[in-house]
Amino acid sequence: MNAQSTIESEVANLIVTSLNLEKDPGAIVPAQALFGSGLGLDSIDALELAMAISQRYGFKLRSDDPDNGKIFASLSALSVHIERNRTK
Amino acid sequence: MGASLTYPLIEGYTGQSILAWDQHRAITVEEFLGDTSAVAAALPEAGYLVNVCEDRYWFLVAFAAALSRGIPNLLPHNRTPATLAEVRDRYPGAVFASDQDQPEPGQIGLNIPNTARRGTARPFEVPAIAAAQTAAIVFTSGSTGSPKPNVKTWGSMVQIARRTAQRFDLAAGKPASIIATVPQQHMYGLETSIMLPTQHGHAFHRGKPFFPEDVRVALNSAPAPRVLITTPVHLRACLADGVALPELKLIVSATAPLPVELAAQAEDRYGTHVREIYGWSEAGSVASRRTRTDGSWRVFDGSTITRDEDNGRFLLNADFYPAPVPFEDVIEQNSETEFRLVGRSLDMINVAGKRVSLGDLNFKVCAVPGVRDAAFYLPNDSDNVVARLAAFVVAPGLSEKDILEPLRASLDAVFLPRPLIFVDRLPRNETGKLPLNQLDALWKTHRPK
Repeated sequence: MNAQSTIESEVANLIVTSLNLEKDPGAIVPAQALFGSGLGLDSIDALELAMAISQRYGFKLRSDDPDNGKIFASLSALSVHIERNRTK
Repeated sequence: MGASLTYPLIEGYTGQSILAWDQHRAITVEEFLGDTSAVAAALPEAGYLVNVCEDRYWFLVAFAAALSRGIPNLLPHNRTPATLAEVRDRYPGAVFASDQDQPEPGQIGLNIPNTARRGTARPFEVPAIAAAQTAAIVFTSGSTGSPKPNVKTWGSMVQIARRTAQRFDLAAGKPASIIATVPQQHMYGLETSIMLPTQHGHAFHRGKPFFPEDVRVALNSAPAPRVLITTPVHLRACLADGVALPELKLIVSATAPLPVELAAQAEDRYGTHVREIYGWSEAGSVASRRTRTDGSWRVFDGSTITRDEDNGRFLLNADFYPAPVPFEDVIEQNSETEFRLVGRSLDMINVAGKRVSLGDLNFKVCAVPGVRDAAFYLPNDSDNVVARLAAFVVAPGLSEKDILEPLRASLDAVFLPRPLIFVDRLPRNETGKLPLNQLDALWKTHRPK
């Protein structure tokens, strides 16, 4: 399934704009890995993304969150985490 | 001659002093000595210990155990499969010390937490380590495609720690809490988050806080005075996030040039001083400045700058180096002890605080099957704080994935080209060289947007 939900499409846009990626946000497959061989993000991107998420959704990412491995696993996992924790 | 000169493994503590802590608990010096002797007793006869422990405390236990057995610590600069395989081939029989449950396949591994658990707290007897002993071998990116080993004696590491403490008012007697966002396998992290605290009775945080919120939580878990060891990338993230940090005695930054505005902003926001350390792998930390007020760098006390009469290169002298160490970057000398940075080395470049040799990157991309010619390029026209590398490749028939996948196995992810630009040929001159102005021009015609 390549179709993005509303929140996934919003988060895909946030990823592409905050990281200045030369990518079409709509082309990010929700289940594809964000880091490594998937979208190819790295630790510097994670810091940038954390800033953008905190500004847009009003909560802060923590790396000692036991679910951390899952949160950044894919666009769909990140979107679920944002929906669950957002304050705005 | 001080043939038998030694320095203690740790200094400035009593048996009950706090050496390290995390959000769960604090570890005393006696407990550390017990863990270290258990690991030292369990270490096989080996020429080298590859210390890849991620937890700063387990790293120190493995480091200290190896020191007390006279075994050098090998510190790979990244953990990609290719780097670890290369270390294994170059140092056959080396033992891998890890704090992860799953050691890399094919390695003779020692799980440090499990091994230490067999020990018990020991009375306060601190081992003495010979100054001339090789304590660590730190790897840096070399221009020939192979990591370059830098040998560090125990004496030089102790001396640099002492000079750093003296410069930053962190001498023994007033225990501080040290929190670092940088890895201990790199020179800067090893010197400031392991050697500096443990030679002066300070406590260090076991973790490596990453997000601004992690930094806040780690700092709040420690009593004042607190010292934050970090990089421009993390400092900028904390400022942009607006995170509130507790009172700080000092912020130390290194690995990349810290913009003056960023330093001033951090000083105002956190009510502290921001000091930068300058150094490079061959020499270690050599100088410091308060970024906001000092245009010049002052070398640590006891060191001097001289000039090599034959080739005009500037040299750093200190009695603990086997020979004067040439500066890697271009400097302008103000006096015997002060200098300004004029230009960075053309081969060694910096991405997000990580240094790499362009020659090494070019070697690796050209080694990808199907690549006929290639060159990495660091654009200087980016609005982004972290400039990203681009690469031009001549590789008919290959896809982006065909090139990135093999690179990913041997390069830290921050060095992967973004973008990767396919071209028909590179503008090499008649001697085969790629003049920088030609690459600048190529970039102008191919850069995105």
